[in-house]
Amino acid sequence: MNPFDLRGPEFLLFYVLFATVVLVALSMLRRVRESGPLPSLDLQDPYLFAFLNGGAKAAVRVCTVALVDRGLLEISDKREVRPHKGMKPEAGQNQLETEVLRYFSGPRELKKLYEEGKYFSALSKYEQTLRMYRLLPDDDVKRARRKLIAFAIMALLGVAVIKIFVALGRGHTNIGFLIFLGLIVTLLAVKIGNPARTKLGDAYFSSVRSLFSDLRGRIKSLHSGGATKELVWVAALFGLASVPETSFPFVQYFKPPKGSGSSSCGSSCGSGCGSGCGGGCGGGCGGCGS
Amino acid sequence: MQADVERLLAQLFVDGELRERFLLNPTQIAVEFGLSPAECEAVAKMPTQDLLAASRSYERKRQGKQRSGRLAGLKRWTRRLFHTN
Amino acid sequence: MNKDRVGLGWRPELAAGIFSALDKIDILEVVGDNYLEASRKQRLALKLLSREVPLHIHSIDLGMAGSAEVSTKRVDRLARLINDVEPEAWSEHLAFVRAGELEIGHLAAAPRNELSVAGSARNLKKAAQIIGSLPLMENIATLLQPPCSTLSEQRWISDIAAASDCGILLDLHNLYANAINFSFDPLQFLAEIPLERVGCIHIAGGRWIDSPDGSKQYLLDDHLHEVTDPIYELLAEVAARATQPLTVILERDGAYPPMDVLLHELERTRVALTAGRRRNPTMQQALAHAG
Repeated sequence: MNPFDLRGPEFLLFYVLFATVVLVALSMLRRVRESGPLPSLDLQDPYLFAFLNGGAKAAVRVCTVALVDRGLLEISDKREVRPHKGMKPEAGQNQLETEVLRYFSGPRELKKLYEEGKYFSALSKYEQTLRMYRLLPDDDVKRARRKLIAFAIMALLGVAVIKIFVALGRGHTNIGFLIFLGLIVTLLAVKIGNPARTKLGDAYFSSVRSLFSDLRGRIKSLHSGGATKELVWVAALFGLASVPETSFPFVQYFKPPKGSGSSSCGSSCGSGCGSGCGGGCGGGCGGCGS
Repeated sequence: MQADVERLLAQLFVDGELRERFLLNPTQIAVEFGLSPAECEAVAKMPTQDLLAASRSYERKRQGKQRSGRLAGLKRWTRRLFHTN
Repeated sequence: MNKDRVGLGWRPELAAGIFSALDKIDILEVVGDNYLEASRKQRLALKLLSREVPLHIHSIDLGMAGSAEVSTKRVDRLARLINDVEPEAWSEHLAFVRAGELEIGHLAAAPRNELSVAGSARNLKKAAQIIGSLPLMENIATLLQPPCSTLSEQRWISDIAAASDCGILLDLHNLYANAINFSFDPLQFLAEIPLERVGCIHIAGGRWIDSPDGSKQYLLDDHLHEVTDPIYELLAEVAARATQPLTVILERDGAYPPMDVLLHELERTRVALTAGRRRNPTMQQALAHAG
């Protein structure tokens, strides 16, 4: 049976199934080519994982959040960041923190950091490291992806175009939906074929995340100023949306502005809203008694 | 037999009612569990307070495990349902 | 000689603190029972962790010292975890945890006699065949001395170790608690166990509890408090007597203090080890030769 002889609705169903097969094959081929043994990275640097999660912008954002929580920077409700009095860039615990502190040696808008901070050399190093370990696509991976995507698009658009010509040749002009579908599946092919991380990167990232899944639940019981490590890891691995503003009020200024927001911290937020660690339910052997 | 002694100990740690009966008449309970005369004599000499303290401790452990077991079970079920993790 | 190592029990609640201080932690110990049902991703995560820092898997649920044969199914499950995670070593307890289908809820002291020595050795052999290696076996704390015992605890442990050729995980707080609760000298205990078999040491804290009628007090090993001075002194004593490298793991299972407090405890552990090694005649000799 020739699928191009199928009537409109039947062909559309066939095309949807065909596209599904092509896109699944694209994903699986990418998985096979991009998988591999998990590498050994520096597990002490949360900003590396923030970069793996969301790129340069995520890394500088999480870094700035950490520096505000530690009291080295302050952020206002106008999303302007300024150094705390007496702050020295040397107070940074690693290269990215030092660069961010230097950047904010005077008051500056946060959004400028996102535009200009991507040139920080610490971020280039993160990117290089992640590409070297193939957690982000390197040139070889990008080349292979381009080929796979090209084949997928050729198959998807090829079938659509052939059907369009057949339909037009038979005097049928209701091809609009097929064109629309063709565009959609092409976009999907690009998205599935070229995500930010490689399959290995996804596996590595989700593995590290699973080590911290308990912390994500516990973050509500922590407070600004006393739990910077926990805050940074949650922000790096799960995004700022996972950080509750009730516990860390200044975090709201790092998120997109709401319609009308009110801050519980007044016009300027630093840390120092109290500290303390929440209790855990214990995952150890619990000793020989309780 | 060793297995009978362990069985009795386990039951004493877990079963409050048996524990009460044991403390009233340890030899009789030990005989019911099939312990030899020497074993009966040994278990009858167990200090009451030590036995009660140990039992209380195990009870707390079991309660803690039940609580965390329910939570872990819920997490596992959620994970399987939503194919997360 | 390889150097002594100091580490911590891996607890998800401490993940951020542990990750931030990996340069101060030589080893991590994972409670295997928490990961027997873990997803592939979680096991992969532990494997990742084991690449960064040596990992031990600590099992609780096998009941190796009971008269019953250890369950093949349970050992298989643990074996799969060990196979996936590839830890440096694994450990269990010299305890029974169930009798038939009846679960006690935690570690209980089995009667210490030749029957339980033979039973333990048999179980250890079986576990080693399935898993591929022998575990380190830990002494437990108990609030009730097991009846029908014909051997002292130290003789019992020594006999099991000799019969099975297993290593010992010496829990100093368990030793100390038992010594307090049953009035014996922990130093004498140390003198009577094969210290050369000690592959790992646990330290922890506990608290005092009253007996149900209030007539006496027990030291309870609850892992919820800071390590006290007597434990560090015992550790120094072990370091003064043992000739092999020692791995010491701090166990904390809840009421977590800030990470700095735990790191301070690790530092105190290192100080105790160093103090002990300075008194160790074998170490002194080795240093003299090197010098």
